[in-house]
Amino acid sequence: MAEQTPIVEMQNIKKHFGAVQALRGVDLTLYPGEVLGLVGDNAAGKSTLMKVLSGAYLPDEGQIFIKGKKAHITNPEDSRRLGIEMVYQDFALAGNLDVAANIFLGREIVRWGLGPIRVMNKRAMEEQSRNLVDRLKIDISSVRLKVDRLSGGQRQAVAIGRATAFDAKVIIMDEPTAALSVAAISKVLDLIRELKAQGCSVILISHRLEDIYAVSDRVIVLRQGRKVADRPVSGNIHEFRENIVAYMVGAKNDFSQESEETLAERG
Amino acid sequence: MNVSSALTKYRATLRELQTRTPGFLRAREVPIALVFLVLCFYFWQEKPNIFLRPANLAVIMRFVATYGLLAIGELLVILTRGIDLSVGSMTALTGVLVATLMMKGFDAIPPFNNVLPDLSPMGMWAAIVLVLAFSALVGIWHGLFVTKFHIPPFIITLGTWLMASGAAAYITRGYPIVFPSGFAFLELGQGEQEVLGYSIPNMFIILLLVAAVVAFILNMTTLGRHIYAIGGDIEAARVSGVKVDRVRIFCYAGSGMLGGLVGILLASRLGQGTPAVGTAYELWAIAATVIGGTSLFGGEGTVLGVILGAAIMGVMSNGMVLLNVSSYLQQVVLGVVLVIAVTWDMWRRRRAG
Repeated sequence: MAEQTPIVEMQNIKKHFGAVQALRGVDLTLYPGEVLGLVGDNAAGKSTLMKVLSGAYLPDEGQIFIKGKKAHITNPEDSRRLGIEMVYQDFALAGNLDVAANIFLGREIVRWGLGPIRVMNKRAMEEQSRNLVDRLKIDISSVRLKVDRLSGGQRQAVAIGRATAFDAKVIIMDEPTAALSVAAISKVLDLIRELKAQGCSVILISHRLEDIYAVSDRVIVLRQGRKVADRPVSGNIHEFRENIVAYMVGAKNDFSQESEETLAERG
Repeated sequence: MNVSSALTKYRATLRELQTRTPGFLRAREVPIALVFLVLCFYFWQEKPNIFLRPANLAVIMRFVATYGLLAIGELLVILTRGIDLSVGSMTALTGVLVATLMMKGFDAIPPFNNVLPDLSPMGMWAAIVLVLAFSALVGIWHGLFVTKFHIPPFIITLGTWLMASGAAAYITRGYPIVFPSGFAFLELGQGEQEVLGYSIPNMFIILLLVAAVVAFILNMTTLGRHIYAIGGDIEAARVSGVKVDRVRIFCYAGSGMLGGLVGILLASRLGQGTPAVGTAYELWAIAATVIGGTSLFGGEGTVLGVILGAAIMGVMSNGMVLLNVSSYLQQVVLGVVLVIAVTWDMWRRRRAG
């Protein structure tokens, strides 16, 4: 895969919140058709890194290249335009709106527009939502149901469906299985494999290492805002788990040299 | 048969009925409309000679127009989980401004009175447009503080509430600015149009026009959908690419502008721009939105509901006048209605959720 142009390349991303340094210079590469696991303890910076990529946060420093070209991602729209979609841990759905409205939120199909007045084509949105829901075999009786009325699994499916509805090249999933039943988890994992087969790249954030192991090609481990491991998924599940946990808790670090240098630089 | 099984059976029947009724009858406005009709029927059979008289209907319609227009503004901000407490005293300020501009001119308004040479009074439409623009700017000011500085809407609009009522009294030194009788501007708030043999106050026609425009925006356009989305989950809206700040600023601008419109209409209706007008109107407007089924938690509410809410308040206060209920007691009754409306709404919501 290394000879390919990465679809996403993040270089030296730094981000702080007040006095907290959430990301201390993280690099990440993602290749076309690859599933990348992103793991780390709580507050390691996984979600922050992904929110930088999805445009929800602006980084303090660092660069992002999409397909080798420098990208300026300043808001979620920029990111979507580049083919990057994020499925948020809390699903990011508006409960008072129906399924179709949520799928098309922020990119409604417009019948005609006059300045800020843009009249929606509701029927087209409902039809396309229905098709999407059927294609992904999501069990929802009507796309006119309010999201408030859906179960957790249905909401997750809608959130993922929304991310895949618009020709995404890269799909970021933040803990997609955290709140789901065992049956629903295997559905989500199947969906990730399906996306990969269709040529999508997926970044999967999860605490469930067995999920990462099941679907990922490669795994990156973050610890305290730094990358401590970047390696292919290999071996059996027990070795894998042991290894990754060692990185997560700080017992192992493949990049310690580099981080000491950065520390020295910062004085 | 014991009570609980009877209740279960009742609920099942209710659900059965609900699934059988067509969609438009399941709308949340239906019970509100029913309450409105029952009230109308009650006052009509109590005072059959007076209630439906054109003059009395015109009184109700002007009441509904005044609070309905303000309530539509409140609806916009409440849908995004905001509130606008400034509109009451903004009606006073904008009424005073429009009267000053027309009767005296721009140079009569502090702080311009000391720096500008004497100007002639302004034309009616120029003054109206200027005041509407001013009130929209005040709304944008609220929106900027709410979105950029994260000031709670309650506080920033409370600040304007104080400033506007103070400014209105300062500009006029407490005296009303009275229009001479026959002044063309007075037609706006006092005039009526013949529609199918009924005379409809201009104010009510303006309400219907504004309601149509806002309902169109809320139901048919992306802007409207984004307003509801922000009320449902502002973070979800933000990460979905909704320009959250812009949409919220629009809502405050809309509310501000409708406050200005009501100020202009009341100045015309009363024949004077006076700082004494508009006291607590914002609370009446908020009450109308809530009675009309708008959730103060945002994301739920319609223009139709809000107008029905204002209409319920209008018919009740008019009917109580007809029945010689003490005006103090009228407030008590309206307060009770408000509490019932909110409680019923919460109960309905919990049962549904």
